[in-house]
Amino acid sequence: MADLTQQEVLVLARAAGLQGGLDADDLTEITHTLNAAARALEAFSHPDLAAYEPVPFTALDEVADGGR
Amino acid sequence: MGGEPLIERSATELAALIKARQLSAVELTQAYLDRIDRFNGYLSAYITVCRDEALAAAAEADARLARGEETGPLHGLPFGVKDQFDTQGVRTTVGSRVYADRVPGRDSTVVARIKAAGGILIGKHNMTEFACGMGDPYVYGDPPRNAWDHDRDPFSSSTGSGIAVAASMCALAVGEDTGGSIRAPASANGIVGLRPTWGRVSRHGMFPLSWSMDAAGPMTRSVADAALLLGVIAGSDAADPQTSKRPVPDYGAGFRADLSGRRIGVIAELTDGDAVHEEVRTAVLRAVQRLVELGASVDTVSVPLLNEIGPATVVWGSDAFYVHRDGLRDHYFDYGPTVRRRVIAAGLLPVHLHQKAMRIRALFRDQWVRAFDGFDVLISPTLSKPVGPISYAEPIRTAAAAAARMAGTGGGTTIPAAFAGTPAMTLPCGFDSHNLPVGLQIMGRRFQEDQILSVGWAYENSTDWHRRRPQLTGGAGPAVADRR
Repeated sequence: MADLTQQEVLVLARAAGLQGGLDADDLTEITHTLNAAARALEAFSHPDLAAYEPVPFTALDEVADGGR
Repeated sequence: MGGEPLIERSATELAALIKARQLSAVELTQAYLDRIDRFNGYLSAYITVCRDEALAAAAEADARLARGEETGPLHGLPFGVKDQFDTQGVRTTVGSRVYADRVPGRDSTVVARIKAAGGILIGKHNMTEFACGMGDPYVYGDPPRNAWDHDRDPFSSSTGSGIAVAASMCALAVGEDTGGSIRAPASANGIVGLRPTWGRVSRHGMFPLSWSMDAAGPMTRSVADAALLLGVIAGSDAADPQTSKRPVPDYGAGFRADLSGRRIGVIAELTDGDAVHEEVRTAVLRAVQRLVELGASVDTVSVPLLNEIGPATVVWGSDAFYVHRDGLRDHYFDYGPTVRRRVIAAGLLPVHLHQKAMRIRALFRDQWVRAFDGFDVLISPTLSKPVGPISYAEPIRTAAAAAARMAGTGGGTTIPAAFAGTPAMTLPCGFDSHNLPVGLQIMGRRFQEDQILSVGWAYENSTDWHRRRPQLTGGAGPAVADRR
């Protein structure tokens, strides 16, 4: 993923519901931070990664079994 | 009563004195209120103090005891909570000016359970904005100050709770931990802080940061106090469907001075190497030696992914963006810059990378769980560096600065348990050369808080770190709102 420009980040923000736009200083930091996070995540590599589902937590046994 | 001053005693000791009618709840509550009057203007531990309500509740507590009525395990004990927990009729700001006048109509489950057990709400503790505004000036009473050195960082985001317990401004406190927000201020202020298993304690009525990482837990003077408080707040809650129905054990039942048969793993990636300050490592390794002397077997364990998961922790920010999107749209400049920038950046992450971050999290969680094979608990420093001066974040203006900050966002000492949803506790294990506390972190498998607490209790019982008290000097400071 190529680095996003500030203009592209502004469009994303508006698409995400922040219709008022972003403060100029915020936009600078958000753009740099977002690009740094994207680069770091894209660079992450592990042979077993594809075997893992993107489940954010270990479901409680009771919930997973359908019991309350 | 001899020995320690009243307000410096543990909650467990105070509860026994109240039950034996050797101490009244009113006397104890007034003593804490006097302490708050004297030092809170400078330390900024409290955003709101419930003076009249606390004294009225204390009087009722004494009356109930005099009538011989049944009382709970926290009867007459003044407690505070991070201002992230709803309290009926008491302003709950979440550390933000957006909610400066927010007054909930109901108690959060945690607060309700403590009150039902006899606890007396004395006030709402200071916190960073929305539990994630680290690096910005605090909206209320900036800056809060470390109880041990008032120019030093008290850490966050359960900032006021750490200060209040350390400075004897309440008997008990409840904080919230997303990535370390109970353990870091507890360590920095030399007290006990426990992050329970995700799903062990209800989050109902607790303003969320990251639904998949948030956990409410005790911040106390001693391990026994943490066990006492956890026993009250833990358990299934119909209002929070993600709470476990597992029975809540008597967390203090397993406390023994002897650790024979206990197997303890020292996490290499969090204890060795340049990332850990020598003074911190020395204190932690001295604590390890004490555990061996108490009978435990100790070995080193490696969790290789710890040094790689930093970027994946962006998931908390994505969770937070969902919480704050409308607020950011409607009250943009009422949010501090750090919250705006961190939350929006995470919220705009392309979905395929968010998915990847979640897969990394699942991969790590599996490695983390397997790291416990052959061990009862794992340990590490709570904070890898000594507590430094109070400071504020510098804005990021270049790609290089952003990359440097991302590179510095490693797994860290407090992230692993939060990422995996497993429990972790900090307790003091020494002091650095500037007389600031050093914390030992004990981590366990899901729902094995009893293992963590029993190892911690044995260690604490053999040392006196938890009996040391900061010398408060007070001073002038901005007034913090008093609800009277």
